Amino acid sequence: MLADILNGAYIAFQPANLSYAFIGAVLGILFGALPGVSATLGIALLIPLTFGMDPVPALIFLGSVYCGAIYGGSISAILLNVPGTPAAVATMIDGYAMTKQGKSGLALGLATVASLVGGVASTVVLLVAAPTVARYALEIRSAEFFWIVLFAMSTVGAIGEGSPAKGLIAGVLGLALGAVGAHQLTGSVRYTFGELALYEGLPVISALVGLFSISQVLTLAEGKGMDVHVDIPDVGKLWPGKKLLWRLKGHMARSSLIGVVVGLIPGAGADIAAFIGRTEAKRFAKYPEKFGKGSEEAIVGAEAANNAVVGGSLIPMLTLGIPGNSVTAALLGGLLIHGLIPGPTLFTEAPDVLYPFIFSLFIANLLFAVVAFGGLKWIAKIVLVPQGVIAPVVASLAVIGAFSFRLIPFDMWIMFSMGLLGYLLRKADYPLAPIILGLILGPLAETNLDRVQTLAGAIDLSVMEYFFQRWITIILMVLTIATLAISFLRNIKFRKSIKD
Amino acid sequence: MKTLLKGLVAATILSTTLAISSLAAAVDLPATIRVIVAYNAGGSSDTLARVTIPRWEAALEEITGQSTNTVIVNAPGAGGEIGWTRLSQAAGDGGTIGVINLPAVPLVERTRNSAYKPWLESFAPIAVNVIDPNVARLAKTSKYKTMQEAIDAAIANPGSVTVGADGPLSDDHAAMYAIEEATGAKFTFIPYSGSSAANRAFMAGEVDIVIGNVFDHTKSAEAAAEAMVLLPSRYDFIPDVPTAEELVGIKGLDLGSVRGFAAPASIDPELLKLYQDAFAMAYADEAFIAEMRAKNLTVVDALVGDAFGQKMADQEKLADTLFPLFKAGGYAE
Repeated sequence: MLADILNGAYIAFQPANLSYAFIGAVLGILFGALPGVSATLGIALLIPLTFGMDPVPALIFLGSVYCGAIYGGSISAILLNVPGTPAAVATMIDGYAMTKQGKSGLALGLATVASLVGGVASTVVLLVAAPTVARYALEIRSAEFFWIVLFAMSTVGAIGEGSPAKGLIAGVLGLALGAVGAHQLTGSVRYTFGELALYEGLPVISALVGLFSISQVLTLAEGKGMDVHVDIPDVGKLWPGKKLLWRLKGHMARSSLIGVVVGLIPGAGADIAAFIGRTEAKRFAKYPEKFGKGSEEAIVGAEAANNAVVGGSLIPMLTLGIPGNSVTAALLGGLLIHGLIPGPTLFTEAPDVLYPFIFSLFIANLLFAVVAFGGLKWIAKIVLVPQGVIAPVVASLAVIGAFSFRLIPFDMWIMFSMGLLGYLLRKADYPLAPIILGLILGPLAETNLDRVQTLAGAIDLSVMEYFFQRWITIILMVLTIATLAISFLRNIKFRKSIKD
Repeated sequence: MKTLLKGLVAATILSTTLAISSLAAAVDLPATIRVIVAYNAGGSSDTLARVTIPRWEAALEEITGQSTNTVIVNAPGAGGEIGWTRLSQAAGDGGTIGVINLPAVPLVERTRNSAYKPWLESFAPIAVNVIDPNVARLAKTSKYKTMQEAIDAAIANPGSVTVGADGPLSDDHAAMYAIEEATGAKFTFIPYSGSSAANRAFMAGEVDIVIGNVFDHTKSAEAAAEAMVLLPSRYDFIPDVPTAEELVGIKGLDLGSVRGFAAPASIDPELLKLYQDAFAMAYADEAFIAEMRAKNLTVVDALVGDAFGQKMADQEKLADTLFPLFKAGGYAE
């Protein structure tokens, strides 16, 4: 394994791969900073660029976009009071307050350092934990897998954005969409209306691109486009100073841990992590009264947490093939395109792809910090791009992306329909991420349950009796039910804390 | 058989060289030749095309003295049906060829009434030199100690023995039915999305038997109590694995995944001949075959033109025999 890691570092440091990481990090920051282009959308739009690449540079590129985008969201949050990504909402309150006090440079500097710390810490956890998790996951059978998927789905509604009921409804809608196509185990065809392009189900990439980009374009189109006239203040010096950073080290460490753990939990993403990170930072803060009025502790608490989600969220995605949030769902699509099927065997079958990828996340984190300290003045200008320009660019990238995935014209219709659906759901305040998770997790749950049924039949047991055959299955069942209950209770408490 | 085939190949090459001058004058190569692969980039069919096609292109150019470009087009979807439909409907100007996978092509054709039905009249055989034999293995975790014991149990108590494989409608799934046909056993089929997933379930002890291909076996040989290759004779990539006849006395099995190159049936006969000759020329290069082996492509003696056509006809017969079992299993109407 050590040889794999070293080889991964060696490959990641190849000049070509370094430049992919650099381009990815810069594009990620730009996409993240652009209000209206989230990390998910950024990755969904950039995946088509990787179709022609080899798997290693493709993944390095996409991973760097992920790191950069989560960080980049804080730029527009701090400067404009507009979150570039949902993950930056928690940063916005104190970041913008500091901007109003003329301390935007300090806010951006703190966000950059905290993001770097969170990102690097979570990558260390990923590097150490993922292969171990994968080794244990090799023992997982269909029954356990079914319960893990069910666990992931139950948390989707409970801790996503918006109301739990709407989250669950969106999740169920995703499940229904996931039923389209030939059943993976019987081959019987459902809801395809004779359309060959639907035989393997809704193509995830096209659906994702439509759901997130076209709905966003339509929302942007409602605005007037060119009338936003804002000046960004001179950001000045970014480096917050050693003394201040040293004082904030505890917050960064705690929030990094929070981010990794939240990332591990399916259904919760960087936005939730940032809120929890900020709330916990307040609890331990030296100056809790400054929270909301430009607190350095708040910014660091939120930013270390949201970037630490990256490594955490990749663990279930890479080792089990279960994406925890919409960004990793998009990344999962990117992996599948390159013939890499996420799951416990990926670590033994493609270490030469995985380790360079994991290693490149270190590089991506360092790169976005370098880019930020070197040229944030210029990068910050991206937030001034009028929405009237963003919308058509996103729309055309979306069309290209949906089509170039399989070169089937029908996929563009899928994308447009999903976009329209996404727009209507947005209007009604439904979260979109559970739809994509349902789309991906639904078939996983169904096929595993079907297998369990057949396996149970072969030894003359009922499905329920079969579930009780192995201890690990029982533990997972209990865990799922307990988590569902706890997350609902926790959810009520958590929502209260945001309102405060 | 081997020497006879080598002779045939040699003869083809000889006739190729003799025919070069006349062909070069008679046929114009298309400026671009698209090679359709009905699966994703990175899969075994894709690797095969990406390794073989540049050699073939060089051979084409050497024979004709003209230049051409080849492009691999991945057209995955509907278990291969999208790509094969596209291939069958392509123009016969030689601008499109593709990889056809057997027995998947005839099995999909039967279950879904595909646009390329009847497939034997839709595709013109060009050449094949990769066949990945099926290997059936008994898990160490199974309560049956030997393959014979498992098969006997599946005869005495139908459905009590589980067989995991990529499926449904895969070559591995077909291989299970072929064993049932030959022995009178009745297994419970547990399909997985991909042979890698089936392999993992096998290692985790979820199924008694797994059926896969050569490299599925080499990846997890330690988890197998017994293994048998479903060929008439042992396979040189895995010489230690006995045949089904040696292990449990099942005769006449010749099962595997055939990945060959074919053109739409409407192709200009002169171009078809030229394409076949170019493949024969590429296959005759020992260094190239060594490269294929190094890339884990399960090379067999090449079958060019009518020889591949005969293989296709064999697969049609196999599909005819096994299809009722797919129907009875609920995998087709």
